[in-house]
Amino acid sequence: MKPAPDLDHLAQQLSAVQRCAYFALMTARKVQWPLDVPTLDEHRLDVDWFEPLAALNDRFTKWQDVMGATMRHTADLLAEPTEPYLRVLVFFEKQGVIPSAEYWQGLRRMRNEAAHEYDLNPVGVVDHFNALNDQLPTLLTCTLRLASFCKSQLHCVSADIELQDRLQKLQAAVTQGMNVP
Amino acid sequence: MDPMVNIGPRFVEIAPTTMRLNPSQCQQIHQTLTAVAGPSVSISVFGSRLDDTVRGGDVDLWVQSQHPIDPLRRARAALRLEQQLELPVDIVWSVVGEPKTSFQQMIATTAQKLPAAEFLGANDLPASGNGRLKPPFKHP
Repeated sequence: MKPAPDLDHLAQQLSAVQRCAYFALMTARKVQWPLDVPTLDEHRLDVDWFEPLAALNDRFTKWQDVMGATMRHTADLLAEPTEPYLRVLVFFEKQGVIPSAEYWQGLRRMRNEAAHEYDLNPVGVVDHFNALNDQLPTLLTCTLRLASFCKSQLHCVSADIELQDRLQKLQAAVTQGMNVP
Repeated sequence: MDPMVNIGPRFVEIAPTTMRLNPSQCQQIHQTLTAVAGPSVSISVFGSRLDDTVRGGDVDLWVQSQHPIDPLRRARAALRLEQQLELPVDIVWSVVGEPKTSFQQMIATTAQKLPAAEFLGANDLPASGNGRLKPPFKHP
């Protein structure tokens, strides 16, 4: 039997979040972490060197935004209030999907501030990318917890099971020896 | 030779400026930012909150800490402050002793140190309810 359109949409959203996660994580592997100012300066005209950083920035942003929209749709399907959006975040904090609503909003703000004119300096750029890299394990955990939550509460799984399996394997590698809240 | 002779410009008197932040807002800013950046943090205000001829506007702060602060902690502190003040807050962060960016050099010429709430006397409290400090306010 064909799933209801709203659940089918959720399955597609879950796979979109996971695709963003997968590409962000694979892109981050191309960078030698942590970044520092002398390395940034050394490569300042090196397009190939900057490309993974630009891609990571873009994919991280898309990842969090698509996951945000997926959480809203999930809450909607569960007849939970979705306005203002903070209620969605508080709901998923309570469910243990995200560490806290404040964490989620802080992450968004951090991303936006990197684009702000004040941070047009090498120290700011280095800090921003190192912070993005530091947050990858946490965001990956959130992504997998959301998938698990949707499966248990709505019997809905990602439209791309192979991708989800790969992410689970990546998580095992990424979080090895790390404390993920 | 008297070492003070050639540093004349440091003694140029700056006309007192009105800072459109009330003592309670100053206290909240201090509390939130010292919790993140430590008690030795230096907090200054710049931008439209120093202009008494305008209304509203963001709270532009320049925070100089003794040590670097992680971008996520900085973002969360700014968010917390926005929630407490119910105003948009923009913060420029820098570390004492590190070279200033051009923008920081620019704001350094106009920024006013945020008065610590405990140094504000009853006479500084806004009488008209417009939330403004009476110039000149006391600096720590």
